[in-house]
Amino acid sequence: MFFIPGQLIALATFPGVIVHEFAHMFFCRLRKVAVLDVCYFRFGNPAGYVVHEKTHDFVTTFLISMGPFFVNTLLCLLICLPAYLPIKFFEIDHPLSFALMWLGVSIGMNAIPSNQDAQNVWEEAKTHAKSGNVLAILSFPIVVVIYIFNALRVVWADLFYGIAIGVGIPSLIFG
Amino acid sequence: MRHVTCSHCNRTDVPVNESLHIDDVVFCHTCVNATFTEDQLKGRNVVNEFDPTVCSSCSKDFGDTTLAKVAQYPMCPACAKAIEKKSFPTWVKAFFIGILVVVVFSTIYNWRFIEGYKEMNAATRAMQAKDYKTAARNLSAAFGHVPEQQDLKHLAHYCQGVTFLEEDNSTAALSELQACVDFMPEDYEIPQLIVRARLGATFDTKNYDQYLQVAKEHLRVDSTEGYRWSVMASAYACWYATTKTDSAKIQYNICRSNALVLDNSAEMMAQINRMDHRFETGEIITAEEFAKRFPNGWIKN
Repeated sequence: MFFIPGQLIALATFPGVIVHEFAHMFFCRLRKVAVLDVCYFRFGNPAGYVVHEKTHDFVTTFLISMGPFFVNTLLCLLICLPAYLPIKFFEIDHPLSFALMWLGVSIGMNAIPSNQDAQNVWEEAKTHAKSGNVLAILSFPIVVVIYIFNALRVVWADLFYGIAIGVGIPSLIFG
Repeated sequence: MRHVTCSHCNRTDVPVNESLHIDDVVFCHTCVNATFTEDQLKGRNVVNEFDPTVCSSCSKDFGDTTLAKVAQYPMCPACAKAIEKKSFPTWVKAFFIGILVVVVFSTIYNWRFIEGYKEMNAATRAMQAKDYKTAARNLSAAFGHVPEQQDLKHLAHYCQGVTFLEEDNSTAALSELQACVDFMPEDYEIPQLIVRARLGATFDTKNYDQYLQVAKEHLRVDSTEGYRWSVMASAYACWYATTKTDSAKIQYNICRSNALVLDNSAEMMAQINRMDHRFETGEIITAEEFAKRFPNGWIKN
């Protein structure tokens, strides 16, 4: 393993960063949560962010925080799935297929919510779990997984996730 | 601007935006600050109402006009537009539309590979079931979808060749097999299939001289198989039927004997029976016609 500054990774996978923030924004809009500030991409840390008003409904918190996971993962799969066949199955090295794979994997790499997203869910889950909210209870292990995953980013966990979705799932489907 | 009455000081002209609902009781900000400490408000239901006629962003009063809301905040059209522009700038909308277009494009552009993949799988299943006709059809269709993959074309030729051989259309089989012989792996045994096709083709065109040469070639591959000797016998039977030479007669009998020594199955007996008919009568007919005319075999009278 070798170290590459996060900013360079963000630059190389900028479509994923934008889609990640877009997903946050989309769910804010869907759940009628006011957004105070938003940055879709910048050369800094974090590479993007969405600042929104505090939410009180746990489903809303969950959707806004976990939105990128669903949106980025789905888009990664949809883009990579058809592009996988010519490369792996028919062994056709067309640049367009590789461009689509890069786009899909870069979006998949940015699917995992940040620690800040996890923290938002954790704080709200503590309150709502007391009242027996099942989603809130289920969120605890999810948040733990997110923290672990983010810690493992130093060993390219995000890249492995993107590849697992963009290459691994198509290989399972197409063999 | 709308007003409410403070339940504490009874002031009737308190702007809605300067009031709070504490446990469903209305207070003006002045009374809240004077009456409650922060600790006293803990555990109470405190709701900040928004005047629907005053913009939450620029605080402009719109009189009696009720403003549309952004989330739960009343917002004038100009501020709503500014927030919209900031939260979903045009380039972001364009970018996301672009991503969706890529998803659609990726699917449409690569659809031919998906079709090719499905057809290749169908061809593989058909080949495993020895259904070469279906395999050939699917491989041709797959090659039509993925012309970059030449192996599909060669495999389609192979399957089509085998199909023609099975259908006793040796001339067509020969053409298909010759088209792929240089590209297929050895374990497909194309050269041997070509010899089979040449045997059929020379027989069909009544080129018995050539038929005999190919039969000899066929035998050289493996002289321990009764089938190959029966082919030789067939060639000599044809040769004898057309030339009536003694050498052909002798060679026929040698080959016939060798075939029966190596293989005395019912199938071989039936084949030799057909050769005998040809040899004795001088009439050269196809296996199909022979079976039709002599369903119980030919008997020398």
